[in-house]
Amino acid sequence: MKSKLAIASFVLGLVSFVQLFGLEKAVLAVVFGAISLKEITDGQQLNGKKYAYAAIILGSAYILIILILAVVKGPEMFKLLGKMRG
Amino acid sequence: MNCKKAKKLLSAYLDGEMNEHCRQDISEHLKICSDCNKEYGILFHQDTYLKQHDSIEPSPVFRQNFWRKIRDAESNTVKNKIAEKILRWWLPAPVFCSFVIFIFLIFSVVSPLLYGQNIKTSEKIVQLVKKMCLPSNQQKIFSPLNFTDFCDEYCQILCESHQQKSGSISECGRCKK
Amino acid sequence: MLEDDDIKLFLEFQRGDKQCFEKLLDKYEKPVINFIYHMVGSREDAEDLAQEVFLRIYRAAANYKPSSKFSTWLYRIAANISIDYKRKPANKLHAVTDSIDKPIVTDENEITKEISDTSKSQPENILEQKRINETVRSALLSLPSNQRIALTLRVYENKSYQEISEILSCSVSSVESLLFRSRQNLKQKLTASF
Repeated sequence: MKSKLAIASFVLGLVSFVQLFGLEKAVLAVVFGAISLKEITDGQQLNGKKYAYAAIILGSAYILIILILAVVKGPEMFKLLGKMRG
Repeated sequence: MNCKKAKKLLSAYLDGEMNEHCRQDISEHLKICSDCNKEYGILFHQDTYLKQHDSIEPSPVFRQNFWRKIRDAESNTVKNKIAEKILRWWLPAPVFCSFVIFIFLIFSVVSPLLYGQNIKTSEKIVQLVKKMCLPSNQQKIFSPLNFTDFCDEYCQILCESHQQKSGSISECGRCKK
Repeated sequence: MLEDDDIKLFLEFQRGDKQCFEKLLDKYEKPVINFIYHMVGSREDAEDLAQEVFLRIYRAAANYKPSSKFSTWLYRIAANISIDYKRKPANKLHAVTDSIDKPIVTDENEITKEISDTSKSQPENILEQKRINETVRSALLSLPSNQRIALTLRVYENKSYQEISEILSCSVSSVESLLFRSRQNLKQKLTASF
């Protein structure tokens, strides 16, 4: 039997790319992926390890992309904020 | 003891799984009741018949296959352990990154509200955040692009407000206003 | 009760002595295979599932704490595995076609075994034995799982009601009624055969 949690987290990982702020979905994908992976490796009854890995990779990839964008866009925003303050 | 009750107990009687008192009762009953006696005979015969079924011998490869499966399973667990190690090393990264992004977002949303002397700017920022939170308002399908949009619009609002405040032309030169 | 030899062997194995697991296999592989064979009615599946049973107890060794007789634990796992197997629709189909198609085809092991057995060298005896095997097998397969487990454990493994109740995790009185009902069910199917 495939782990439902693994599949759910995989779907979350995919969906996080489709709408804006996928951040919460991506975080959930990573967390659920990790939990389901633990479940799969502990009990011998479940399959779907690949889904769990895919979920973790997708979620992480999304988070990394956003982080890079934030790093690129950040300075500009903060510069303006600083001006506003001063 | 009536026949109905006796018949129910015959199975346990056959297995010798009852107390002495009950056992004697049934024995007595079997002596006098031919119907139950017949039933007992059938059950007894049935058990012997079942026992005639041949037992099967494990095939010679049974052990071999079993130990092979054990070896496979053990090599699998080794693989799992490696995967687990990688995961343990990797998992903090996305968690930390998302934490940083979260702080970044909170900061960028809250600070104009704190610093903004201009109510209009605050309102615009609030509206931008509202827009951001509703998926139906998103224009780009590939969500990271929406994040870029958010940053750009955010800059624009700040730039505008800055211009209004100081009355100068755009200093950053990006919003073209 | 908890200090039976099998548990000692298994605890030895837990400490790393694989030889002890071999000893347990020597003792239990045949009964377990036969038990599962009576449950699922197909020889190959019985061996596969028996391997699964031993694999499971092999894996469980790390967290094993003796709480009941070793054989009780083993049979409980075997019973669960055969019930799970029966639940899968694909396997059910397999077992049914097995019992319909297979009566005539017996594998070589069985034939050589029967031929080498002098007491049964008469062809009629072989045929008769085969007929008995077939009738018993299909009769057993027609029983509901719980009744089949109880009856198999009682008739072939000679377990006491107490042990059966522990294996099935139910009360002794429900074992009694399971056996009663299974024998009633079998009576209707078997009386024609003997």
